[in-house]
Amino acid sequence: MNSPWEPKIVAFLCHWCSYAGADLAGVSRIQYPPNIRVVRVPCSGSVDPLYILKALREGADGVLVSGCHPGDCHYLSGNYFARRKFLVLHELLDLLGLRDRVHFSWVSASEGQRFADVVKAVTEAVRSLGPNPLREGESTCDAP
Amino acid sequence: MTLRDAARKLLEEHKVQGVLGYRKGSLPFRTRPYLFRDPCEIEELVFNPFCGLNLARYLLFLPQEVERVAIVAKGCDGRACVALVRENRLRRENLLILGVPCPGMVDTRKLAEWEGLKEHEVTLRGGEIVVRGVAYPLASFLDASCRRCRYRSPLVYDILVESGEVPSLPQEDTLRELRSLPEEKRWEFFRKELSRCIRCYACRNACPMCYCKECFAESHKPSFLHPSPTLRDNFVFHIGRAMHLAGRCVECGACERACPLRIPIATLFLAVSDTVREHFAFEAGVDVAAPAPFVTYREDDPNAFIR
Amino acid sequence: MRLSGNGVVVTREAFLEWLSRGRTFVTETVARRFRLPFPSVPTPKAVLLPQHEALYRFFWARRTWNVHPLPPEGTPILLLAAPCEVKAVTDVLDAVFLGNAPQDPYYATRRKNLILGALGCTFFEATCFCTRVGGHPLSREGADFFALPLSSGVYFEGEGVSGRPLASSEKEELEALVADLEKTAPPPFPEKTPEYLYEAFGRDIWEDIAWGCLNCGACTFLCPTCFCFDLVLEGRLRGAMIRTWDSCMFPKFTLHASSHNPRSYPMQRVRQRILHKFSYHPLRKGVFGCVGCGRCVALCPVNWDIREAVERVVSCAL
Repeated sequence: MNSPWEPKIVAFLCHWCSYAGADLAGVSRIQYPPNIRVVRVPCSGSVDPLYILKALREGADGVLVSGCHPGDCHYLSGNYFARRKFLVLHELLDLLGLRDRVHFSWVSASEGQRFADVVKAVTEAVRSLGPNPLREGESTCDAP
Repeated sequence: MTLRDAARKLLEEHKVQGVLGYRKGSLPFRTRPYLFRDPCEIEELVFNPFCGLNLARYLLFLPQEVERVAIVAKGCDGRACVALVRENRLRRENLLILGVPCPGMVDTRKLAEWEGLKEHEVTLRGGEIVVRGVAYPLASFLDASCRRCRYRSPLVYDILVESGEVPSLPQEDTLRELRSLPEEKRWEFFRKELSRCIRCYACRNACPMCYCKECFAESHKPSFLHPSPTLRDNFVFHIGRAMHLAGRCVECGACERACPLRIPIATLFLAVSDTVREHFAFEAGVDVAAPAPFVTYREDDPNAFIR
Repeated sequence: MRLSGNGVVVTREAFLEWLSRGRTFVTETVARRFRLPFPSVPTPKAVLLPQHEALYRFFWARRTWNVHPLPPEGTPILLLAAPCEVKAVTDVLDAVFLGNAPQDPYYATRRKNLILGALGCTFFEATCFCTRVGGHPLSREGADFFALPLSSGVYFEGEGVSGRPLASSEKEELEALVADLEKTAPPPFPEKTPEYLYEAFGRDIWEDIAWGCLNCGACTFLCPTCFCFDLVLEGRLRGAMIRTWDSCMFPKFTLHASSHNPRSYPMQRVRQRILHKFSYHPLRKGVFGCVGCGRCVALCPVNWDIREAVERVVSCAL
């Protein structure tokens, strides 16, 4: 275990836009940091804040949630509701001093390059913060 | 009409089958919740600055035979009643809100700094509290949520009890100091406080808006957190609960008063209430008709935080 | 008089110096009454039964499960507690974890390495009721040493500290203290309290008694005699078996695998708590499952008073 620490970022991508955008980036052979672990969800509106908290609890150094642009949601208004929830979570985590651990983006199915850019920016932001501070006190589950 | 008169009359005239109020506790400076059923019990009904418990919490735990209940409501308790009615947990016609203007609730733990303090050694005089003959500004003795309270008198009520002089204390921005700290210091503060939590759930159980039959914290499948009171599990519990209370918290501070370890937990919920108020112009329990903030949206909702 | 009077008097500085020689903790009760430079624990059981401890580690490797027990380190520590808190350890926790075979090895290791000292009480707080359940504020029973602050120093019974014998004025001070405590001591519960409570199980009074309780669990977590725990497996291919405190106040405490829950209503859980501590435990083990420390009364968010609850049920029976 001598390799330097790399941030682990869980990415919740909505099936219709962001996941397709990520897929396009892959098909177009656009390179982006391999630190994200993708979880495909039907809509950004279906992302319960508890999923984001669970990801942080399990040791993720950062979380990205990405959906369709406002107005383009496949389910018409899912991302509008998501936007409100995410604002509250964002400001709450900001108060706690964990502002840059959780990121949100709107990436459409045709924005392969943009997806790569978002992942690059998020990875750098999380890397500069260091490992997840919630890991303190964790000793036994990390068997060698 | 005094509070006791109003309550007694309601029971004598069978307008309600019970009055939810406060009664003297078994310790100095403590009161306890009580469901008064008989008019002659009303002699024991009290209301003083040690009535910090949010009685609305009990509205969903009444005996079956109590169909219509009156509740002694401070401003925040009144908001909780309205919020519960809006969420269809209560019928408005089964609820009689006995409003009392509130001077703010004294932080009883602050009084613990005086050894062996007796009840008669503490009196209130306008905007001051006199402890063993020395006067202090009342605001410095109030709970954090009371110092920033916006609705000291219930907005929605059936009967409003006239009380003597209720000092109108200025609203304090109790979160300003915390918000002005740099990021690392804020995390340090929350890391320390969240690590202390033993997950006894007193805060959750004292909250009138936490009435889920199965709390997410006790869910096994799926499991969002473990019973261990480690930092990471405490983080999920409190932030998760704060998200569930977004737009629903009535800022009463009962959670912080209930905590046996004096963790300033209300800070989280008050901050979320501020966010909802600022960005979505919504306050829980103020307007029965206003739509809940998370079942509606605007096309110009804040978007700048999203890439 | 529980004290032998054969102890010695030492200066406060000498006593503190002796305490500082190793890892010393005080309970919150002691910390509240005296300014002592030692870290405090909210309840004495925290040093014997931590709220969160890993019992064993496991991981899947080389096509088999590898399991490694994680015994506690067994570093010696000293805990200075009130006599009621000492009684909680010796009368209740020891009986539960060490009384029957197999003994709990994690508890046993910590217990063996614990020096338990009793710091006598000079007055009853509004929440104290040790004398109602067979305790005494000056009791040395079960403790490895006993100390009591006097006006001129610290009275000490035990080994490891040398001092001078009691002066006659100090003997008078002790006697006056004993007499004063005798006068102000809350009287014991009626003799057949466990039997009365047992027979009162089916009465209607419980709904009324239990009303007001939030069923939060603060009392159980801070109670020195509450010992219920939960075992949780964390991890899948690698992880640990974690033991955490559990509370009979939680709705899922008695949830069976069949999904039946015999104590799904708040009243049933409150009744269970009272009966367990004041009826079942004394009937089976001969001592109350409560030591009267009063934490539950002091910290209950709604001032639900267990003393009043017991009195009400008993007076119904009488």
